[in-house]
Amino acid sequence: MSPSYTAAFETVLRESPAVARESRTENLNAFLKAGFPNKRQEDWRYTDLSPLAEQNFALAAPGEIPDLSSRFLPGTDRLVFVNGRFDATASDYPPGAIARRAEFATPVDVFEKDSISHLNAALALDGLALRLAPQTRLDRPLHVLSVTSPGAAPAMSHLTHSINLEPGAEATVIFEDLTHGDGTHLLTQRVWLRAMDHARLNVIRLQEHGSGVQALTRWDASVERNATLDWINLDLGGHLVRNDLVMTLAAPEARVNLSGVYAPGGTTHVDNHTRIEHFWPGGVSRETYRGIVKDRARAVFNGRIVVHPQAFKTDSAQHVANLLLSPEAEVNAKPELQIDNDDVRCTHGATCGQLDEYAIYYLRSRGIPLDTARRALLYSFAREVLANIAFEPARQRMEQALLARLPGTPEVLP
Amino acid sequence: MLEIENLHARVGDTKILNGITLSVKAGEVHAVMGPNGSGKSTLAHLLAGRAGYAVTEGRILYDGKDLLSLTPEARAGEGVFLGFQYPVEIPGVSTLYLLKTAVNAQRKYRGQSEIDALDFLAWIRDRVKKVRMDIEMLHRGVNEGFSGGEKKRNEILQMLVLEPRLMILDETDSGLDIDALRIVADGINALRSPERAILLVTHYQRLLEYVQPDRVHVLARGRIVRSGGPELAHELEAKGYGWLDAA
Ligand SMILES: Nc1ncnc2c1ncn2[C@@H]1O[C@H](COP(=O)(O)OP(=O)(O)OP(=O)(O)O)[C@@H](O)[C@H]1O
Ligand SMILES: [Mg+2]
Repeated sequence: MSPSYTAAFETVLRESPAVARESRTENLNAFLKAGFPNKRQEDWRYTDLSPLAEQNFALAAPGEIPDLSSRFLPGTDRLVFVNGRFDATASDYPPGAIARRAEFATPVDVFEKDSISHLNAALALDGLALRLAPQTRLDRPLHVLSVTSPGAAPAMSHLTHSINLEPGAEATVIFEDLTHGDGTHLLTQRVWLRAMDHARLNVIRLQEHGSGVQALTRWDASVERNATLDWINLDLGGHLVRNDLVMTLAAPEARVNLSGVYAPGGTTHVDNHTRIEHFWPGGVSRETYRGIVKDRARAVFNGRIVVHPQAFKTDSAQHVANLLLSPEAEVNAKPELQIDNDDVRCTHGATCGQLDEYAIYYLRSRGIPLDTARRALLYSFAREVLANIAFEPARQRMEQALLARLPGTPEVLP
Repeated sequence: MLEIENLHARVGDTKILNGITLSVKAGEVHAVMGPNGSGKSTLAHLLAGRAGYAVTEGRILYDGKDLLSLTPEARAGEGVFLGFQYPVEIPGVSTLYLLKTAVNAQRKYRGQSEIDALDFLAWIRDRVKKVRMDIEMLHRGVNEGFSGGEKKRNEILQMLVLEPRLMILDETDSGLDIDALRIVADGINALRSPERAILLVTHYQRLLEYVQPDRVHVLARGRIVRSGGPELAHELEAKGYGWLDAA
């Protein structure tokens, strides 16, 4: 293992409160012992992180970033992190429920399992810490902008976020990840989500990293009685992108709507590993993913749904569809259903194909140019997911971001 | 207006059209009839520009231009319209988007400016009424979940909006109830004019009672085996195609 991880740890220890020291040390040791996952591990068959071990990533210094105001979303409060550190100038939010992790002198969690989570727990200094009291709601959606600003030498940054909605609380949070510059950067993020009884949590995420960024994000959600989690992700950039999701329906009658679009180009490698765990009766989960893979990009999707023995009357549906836009593009999509009782309704399906030539011809026969016809079909394919974003400015931002990356002339908007 | 000369076409190694010659003048309505699999839709798609066919002999002239050298969108820009026998369902792309994009693309092709949004809406409203569709349906994906008859009416709606000069309607009358047949026929007649030509592919005499053809052709095994006046359609209705084998 490169000594850079231990060196970064020393820096972090100096900056972090004493109370966190012990758990950080435990996490670092656990990480050093396990190392980065490699292809011999089933969950990492298509995504090899072992080269990261030999890279020298210094802990990123607070980076220089340009004016971000064009990225601000109207009608939102805003929390900005640059290279894993809080940016007070660009942030704007009222005191109260919204806070930062660094404001609390609490030890970091220790019940981590995988090695990247250990690394994150050892090195993350900051992140969102949102807690909503019972029956309260965020007046405005919260926009969490995380900017990485790679310099000449490889660097890394880490963030840990948590969102806790107490019973009946409601919030919409938009995570937007972007990069300023082309250098090499490693970003790990850990996100804890909890929606207690009757809470409604809406999470939207847009990932537009630069071509030198390796972004590893792990999401853990606990959704409780009659609570709903809506989670929508759009992955567009990055060099290597991995999202690990573990969504737990942790009480009866919980509901999880999980969906995402990945549209990698160039040589981007994007890997979504999702797991939905039904532990209690009456849970409902919906999972929809759309992939548009072009150039020499590669996408991996693994969607696991586990229905435990006591989770009667579970209703679960999963659907993944992929479009390959070039002969060198690649997709590995695998649904994995594990059902341990009979009283459930589960449907799933995965498809992989090309654009429907007959539909393109139909549009062209009406006078619509080939380029426009293809874009309209690609866009509509992804929009099945993006249309579910209720917060209009976020939806527009994401649709525009996607359109800008589809092949063809960018000006055409269906 | 349209000159098809000795057209031979195949898909892969399968010969489908074996020397079709047909001339349609502006102002005329021609009906093309013939048994299943005789090549009617193939001919229609060749006119509209579908890929996948190899033309091995012959040519198609439209207004004196070599039609086969044009892209499908350029043909549409030149005024060619095909009403599909099997209209495509395109979830996520609304009919309204299709119409607006198509109208503006065709206008651009002809060197005209984009249509004003309000004018466009008024234009659409008027035509939607003509085909008795609910305007709400235009917000749905193109033909998404439409019944067979609704799909055909949507084809006529698109035709009325685009106002083409050469209309090829491939079994637009199939699968329609009596009222819908009437709507489709009225739509076709509304565009009938001395500057336009219509090619009706049909299996039934019914439509031809509403839209009187000038000529009727029988296509069999990729060739026109008989041509005649409107009375030929009656004859076919009475006799079927059994006589073809004897011929
Ligand atoms: N892509 C293709 N590949 C192979 N054969 C084809 C293809 N397209 C058409 N054919 C064949 O060509 C013949 C003519 O088909 P076409 O659809 O033109 O018939 P049609 O006259 O329109 O029939 P119908 O009245 O049933 O609509 C058929 O035998 C059909 O199977
Ligand atoms: Mg046909």
